[in-house]
Amino acid sequence: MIELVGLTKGFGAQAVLDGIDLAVPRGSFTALLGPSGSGKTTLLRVIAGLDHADTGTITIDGIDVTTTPPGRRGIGFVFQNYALFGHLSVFENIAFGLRVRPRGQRPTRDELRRTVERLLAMVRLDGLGARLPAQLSGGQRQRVALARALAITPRILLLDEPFGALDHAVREDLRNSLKRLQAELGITTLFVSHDEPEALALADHIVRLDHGKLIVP
Amino acid sequence: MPAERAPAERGIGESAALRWLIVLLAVAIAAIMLLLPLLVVFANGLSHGLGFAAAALAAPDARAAIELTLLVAAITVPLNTIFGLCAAWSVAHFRFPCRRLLVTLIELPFAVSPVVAGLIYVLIFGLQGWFGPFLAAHDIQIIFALPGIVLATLFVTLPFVARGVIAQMEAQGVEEEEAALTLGADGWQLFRRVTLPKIRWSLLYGVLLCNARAMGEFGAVSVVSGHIRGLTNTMPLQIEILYNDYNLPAAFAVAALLAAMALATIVLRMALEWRHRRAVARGADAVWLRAA
Repeated sequence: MIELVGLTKGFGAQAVLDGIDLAVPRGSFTALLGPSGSGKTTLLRVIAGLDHADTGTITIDGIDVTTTPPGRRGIGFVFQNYALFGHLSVFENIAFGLRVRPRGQRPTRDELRRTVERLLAMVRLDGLGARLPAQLSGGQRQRVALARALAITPRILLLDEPFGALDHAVREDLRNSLKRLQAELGITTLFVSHDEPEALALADHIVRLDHGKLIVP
Repeated sequence: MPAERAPAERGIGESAALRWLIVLLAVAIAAIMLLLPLLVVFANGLSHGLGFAAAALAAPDARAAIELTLLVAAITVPLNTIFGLCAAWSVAHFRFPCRRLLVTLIELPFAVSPVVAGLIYVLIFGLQGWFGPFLAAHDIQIIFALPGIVLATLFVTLPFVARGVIAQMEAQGVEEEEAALTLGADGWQLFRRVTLPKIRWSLLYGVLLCNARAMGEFGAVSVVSGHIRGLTNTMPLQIEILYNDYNLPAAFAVAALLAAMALATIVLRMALEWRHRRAVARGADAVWLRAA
């Protein structure tokens, strides 16, 4: 569950987030809809800790994370352009979050391999672990990004325009598999979209944002 | 002709003769201006035989100059590498006042004559300079000593690492770093596992160029060194002294060694690039950093 209370953020005189109060229910699949420039990506980045709000608090599963660094918020983030590590194989991309854990919490070599292979199977990329991101299609990259975010067993999954850069046929397929995965894992998920039909098809909650304000239906 | 080469050809016109003329001109200029002097240096350096060249290099003053040059490079290159990385990191990752100014400032040593740079240090640290009395009172010698030579070399070689790394870091953006942050990487892991592999080529190139320039700098070092034989002469200064002493064979022997050291730098870079390209062709990642 994500609770946002009174989040504001401005760039100069321009308010990007203007008093956001929002509760995303535990296990829900929530879409954050709005035109471009409405502040939805900023809101997602603030929740992840990549940007900071000027005022307001962020609570995840009852814990105030307003000043917690991004890596300790228990958040999996899928970037719009995936932001895969171009110099690392698909396997190493997915393993990254496990390898950088503090000494003592790191999985053994065998555990790591099993976890990554399980994730590869989960996003239907079995056998592609040795590839570099540049050798994958757009849809495959998106699934690597998803597997990488899920590898750290986050409490919250945040996706920024997850299907924005993909063509229609691939979108349809990925949409279904994301919905299936989310239902299976029951992970609280918030995704940003400007595509209303897509949001309606996927999400069980819809939140609308315009000019940095939530629109109450 | 492959289709992708067509635009470049059209850019300089249809005439094949013109095309060849331009290529020939570029090659000829490079050969006459760059390759020929290099060959002359080596030919002259060895004109009295290998034994003479070895003896000239083993002379006490020459040895001292070689050692000083290596010492100066060993101090300045790591310092400028650290500075270059810090500058690039801050410029690419943070928005702060005077950010663009910092980038421009870093290129200042390219614009300012090295002699002026040397003079500036004399004015600051020299006996008649700002800190002169203070340094003299505490028996610290900067000008006409190693610290001055290091400072002057630092100034001149400062842009070499920073410039390329800044350009590459800015071009690549910070998304991968942000992804690493959300995955729990700490600052060092972020740098070591994400940033460094991304910038390794511009970093390597900058370090090698910085090294070549640090060993070869003449103007700035000449002003602050004081030309004390066997003590504060680097290789370029030693070459000038030998030349002025009409000891041309010895001058060319030291010059040939200096040129060879710079060439080794370039050859090393080519070898690493070749290895990298081969590794990429095999579908694997560059191995030399991963092993580190």
